[in-house]
Amino acid sequence: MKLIQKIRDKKQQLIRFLFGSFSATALMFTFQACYGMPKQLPPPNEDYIIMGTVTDMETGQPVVGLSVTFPDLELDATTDSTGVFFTNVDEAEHPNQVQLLVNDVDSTENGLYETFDTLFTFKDLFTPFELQVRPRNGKK
Amino acid sequence: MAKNNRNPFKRFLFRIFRRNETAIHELNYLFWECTWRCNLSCRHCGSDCKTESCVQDMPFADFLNAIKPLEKRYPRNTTVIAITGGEPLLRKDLADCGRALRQHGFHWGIVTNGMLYDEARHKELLAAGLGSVTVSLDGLEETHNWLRKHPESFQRALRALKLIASAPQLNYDVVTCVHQRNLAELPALKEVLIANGIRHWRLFTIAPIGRAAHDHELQLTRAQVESMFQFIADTRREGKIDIKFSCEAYTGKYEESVRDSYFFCRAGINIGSVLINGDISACPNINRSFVQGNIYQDDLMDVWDNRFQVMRERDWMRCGPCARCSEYKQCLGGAMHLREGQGQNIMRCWKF
Repeated sequence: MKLIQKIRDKKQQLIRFLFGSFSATALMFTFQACYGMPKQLPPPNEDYIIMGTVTDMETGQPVVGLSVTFPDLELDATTDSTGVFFTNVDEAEHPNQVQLLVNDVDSTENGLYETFDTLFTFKDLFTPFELQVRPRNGKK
Repeated sequence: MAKNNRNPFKRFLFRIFRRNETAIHELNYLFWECTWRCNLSCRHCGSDCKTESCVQDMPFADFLNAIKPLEKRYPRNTTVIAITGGEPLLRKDLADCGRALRQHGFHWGIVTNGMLYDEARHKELLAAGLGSVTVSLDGLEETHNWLRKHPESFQRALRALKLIASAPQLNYDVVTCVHQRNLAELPALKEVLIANGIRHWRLFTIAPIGRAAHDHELQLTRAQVESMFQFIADTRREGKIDIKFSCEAYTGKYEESVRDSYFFCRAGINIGSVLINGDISACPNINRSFVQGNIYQDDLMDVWDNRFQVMRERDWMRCGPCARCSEYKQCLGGAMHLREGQGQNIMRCWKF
């Protein structure tokens, strides 16, 4: 009986694999319940959540509109009005340490800041961190 | 008019797929009804929630304890937790709950009316690993506020949606419950959504359950439902917004034009729930006579593995109008939430 059950299980998994392998039917796995929110696409790899706040080194105020990039991971984000940025990284894909660049790419609207270049170390899943950027002398 | 584009071969393949998924019945979508409290008192509420519920919120530790066996069973983290209510944002510990879920490997999302979703909450939830959100928007401002019985509900829902749509890491959609008053507004609402950068839209009809059971203005006629399907099909062809009809009903000749995939009620097959009192069921809007166990007395995985036959073997649904239906094998008796109990006829049918 156990063998029959095992064969049946294998057959079911094979059918599932065949359906999942055809792009036309992959949508069948991305369902959502009638009254629920959308399901994330399978496989939902564990994402590392990067959340940071960028402030002005002199005033301590949040800085909006800065570009935050992780060149090794080909990821970028922009700080919002409270200086906060978010991005997600696939846990399986990132090295322990990556380069992090903060660039002032907007106009002089919020002042001008020097480029900030550092190494970012992955610690645990939810580690918000803070960065301070230096205003360019005489141009703020 | 939509053409009758039934594709027999695709439908045949789909039935194999559905039978196989039913046999495997992997639990990969679990609702958590975390509160019955709500900050609105909507005309159509299916769960009849109240501002001050007499039922206590479920302690998160109880829920977490119940779902821990899922980690072992599904190590690839395929189970997503849908936090619903009531209004989940009323729970002050929501971000803490979400963070703990992510630390245990579960992805999670919320279904919300958006009233309390401001920028601070948005960031707090994103930082806690929020992955998916559904927000209700039930028409243009006047109509939405009428249904939700709150003068600011439209503006607040729209504020929430703009924040959500601006976060690339979030999966989201807007849901609109279509009724007599907002049917004609759908084209204008579409333009509002597109203008605000919102790209995912799902339409429902309102099931005659909860408060909506007594309000005829909330129910569409068959002709109105068909015009809604036509609107969805036309908008999908237009391609400006990802619109679909919910998985609440089999639609007959519209099956291939109003959704990405065929109707498949996965209640009890892939979808389970832990209700406010610990009851174990499928979707929270399903009649509570279908409850299969309780987390305070039973093991969730044991209940999932060994009960739920009523939702996996649906021959009992072939009664009343379904008994004579030529498309029963494709529909399998419709959605579970449209049955008031085992052996009961379906409340309504949207097959065309």
